[in-house]
Amino acid sequence: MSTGHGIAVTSAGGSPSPRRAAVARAALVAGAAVLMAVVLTFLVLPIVALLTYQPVHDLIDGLRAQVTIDAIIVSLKTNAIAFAITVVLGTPFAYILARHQFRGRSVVITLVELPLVMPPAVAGLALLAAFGRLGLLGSELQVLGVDLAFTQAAVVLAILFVASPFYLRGAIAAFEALDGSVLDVAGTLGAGPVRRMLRVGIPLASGGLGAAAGASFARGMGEFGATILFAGSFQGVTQTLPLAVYSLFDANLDQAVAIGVLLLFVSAAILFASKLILRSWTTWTSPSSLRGVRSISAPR
Amino acid sequence: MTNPPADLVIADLHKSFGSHPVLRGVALTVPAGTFAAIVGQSGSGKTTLLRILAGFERPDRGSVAIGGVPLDDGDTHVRAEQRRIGYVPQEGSLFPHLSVEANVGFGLSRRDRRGSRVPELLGLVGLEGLGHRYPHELSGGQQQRVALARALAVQPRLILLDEPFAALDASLRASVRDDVQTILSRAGTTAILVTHDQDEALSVADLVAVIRDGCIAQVDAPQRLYASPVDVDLGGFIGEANVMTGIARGDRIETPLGLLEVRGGVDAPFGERMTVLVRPEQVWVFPYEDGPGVAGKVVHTGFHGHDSIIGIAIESDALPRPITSRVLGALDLAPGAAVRINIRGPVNAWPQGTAPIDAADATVARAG
Repeated sequence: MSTGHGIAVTSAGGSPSPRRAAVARAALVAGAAVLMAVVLTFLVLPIVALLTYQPVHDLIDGLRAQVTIDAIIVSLKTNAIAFAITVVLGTPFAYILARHQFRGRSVVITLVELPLVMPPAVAGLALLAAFGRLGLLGSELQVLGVDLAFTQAAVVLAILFVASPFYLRGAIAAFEALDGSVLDVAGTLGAGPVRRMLRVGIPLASGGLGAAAGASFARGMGEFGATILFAGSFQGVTQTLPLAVYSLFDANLDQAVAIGVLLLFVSAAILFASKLILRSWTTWTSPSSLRGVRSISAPR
Repeated sequence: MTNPPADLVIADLHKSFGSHPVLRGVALTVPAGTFAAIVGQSGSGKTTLLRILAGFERPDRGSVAIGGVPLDDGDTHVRAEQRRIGYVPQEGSLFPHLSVEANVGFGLSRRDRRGSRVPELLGLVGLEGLGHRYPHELSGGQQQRVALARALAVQPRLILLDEPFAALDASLRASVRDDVQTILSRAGTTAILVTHDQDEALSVADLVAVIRDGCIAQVDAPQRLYASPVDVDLGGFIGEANVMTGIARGDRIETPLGLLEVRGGVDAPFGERMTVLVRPEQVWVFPYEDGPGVAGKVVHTGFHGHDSIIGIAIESDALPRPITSRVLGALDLAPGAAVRINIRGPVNAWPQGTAPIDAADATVARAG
């Protein structure tokens, strides 16, 4: 639009400038292309370098090493448990927070978001201070015979603490965006609060919930700082994939890179899945679908 | 498929949000089987009243009861899911992730959902065979009818319609409105339509309640409400009005438009000032030469197909604005033409008393 306007102005001035306008336009396009190239190169180059660091058979050897397999198992197990806890407890938590007004609500939301901005190492220290042997709940836990620090349970706690806020924040936003009158209608049809949430709230927010779950899972798979401080890095017990990268960094760089490539593919898969969920979901969200119908029916 | 009829009785309903009173003693009785309309401008409290009836909000004071059973009073608050009061919101608010069938069956038990009830309801609203479609595959009017069927499915004691036609194209609105009226009367369900559109309220409902500043100003059959509004503001809200000051002269009233007959008689002593309301369709226009009648000059004309609106300036200090006349069809009158007018039928008049009524405001009420 702006270029069309510019051409109109120059021709109105009567000057012989369609050529100058074309040159300016070409310069603009060239500038934009250079900018895109610089940014993309910077972002993509390290990924390409990682992928091409070693021949494929070395890569496969690295993935087949015992230390890698142990880390895969630890990562999958701890993340699966943390993810399940996050979704099962976090979904109703977020729903209640999003759909009800009460005193202190904004304080609660801020507390939920705090771990997001907290440095992971600080999160690890905080977890030690709370659940460690000498921590706040340490003696109580010891009485119960529970020793969390440097166990697989500690890995789960670290992931929960660092990654679950990503889900909670996204889920709260998704539930807040729901059209309240749809939930109201469900109420008048005899659905109590639980049924309203299960049959209407969650299905309608599923796109946002899926995206939030993806972000949370990706963060959990990559969790490093809190885990190494709170759970340590013992192969086969608490050594997750990111911790294995770190411990192999000095000993066997090829293996470390192989694990890095694996984590890269996991992240890419999560990103792709999130986008897919979000796209399939937006086709039937309530207000946009009604708007669509009206614009279709208008010309008839 | 209907319930034993039950009257809705609302008494002394109060509701404030913060320090802002929204409802200030609403009282209204809707007999069972009636199609009632609650009409009011935005901010009048009609939406809050509807949300209280549905059970979404709790009143501060007062009571709501159906068939003598309290839904809200000092101690009781029946939750929305236990009220059996249907709700059709502005845009239908169908569940977008469920098929038409599943939408209609949402409030039914698992067994009833599979029975003949859903097809029956789809038949009632004229959507046979569309059960497998999804809401986004339906037109706006069809969506509203599904919303109605869904509300009727649970055999509600009352159906609330919250501006259900506002989101529809003008061409569709009248037909969907007629359909809804027919469906509801066939189902025999008591219904309350909440709207800001007084034409809609008058044309659809058996009973119209005008809500103003959190109180019910008048409840009447549409014809009576239009013919005998309780005050000039309400008269101006419910239909177009020419408002002027007149003086009581025994059984008639003296106005700039002549000595006029008053509906129900003149309710003021001889010589008292009164506010007079004359409907545009009562103002008959003649060529000047065909007199008698009050002389005036055409200032503007507007042709609307079925009728025409003519603005006529009258030489009178008591008439700052032109008089509006509504005549059937087209009228061959250009601005500037000299005419005479006659007033047909009785007009409405209220003693001005101590509080002077701002006549200009009442006229403006319908101008937009």
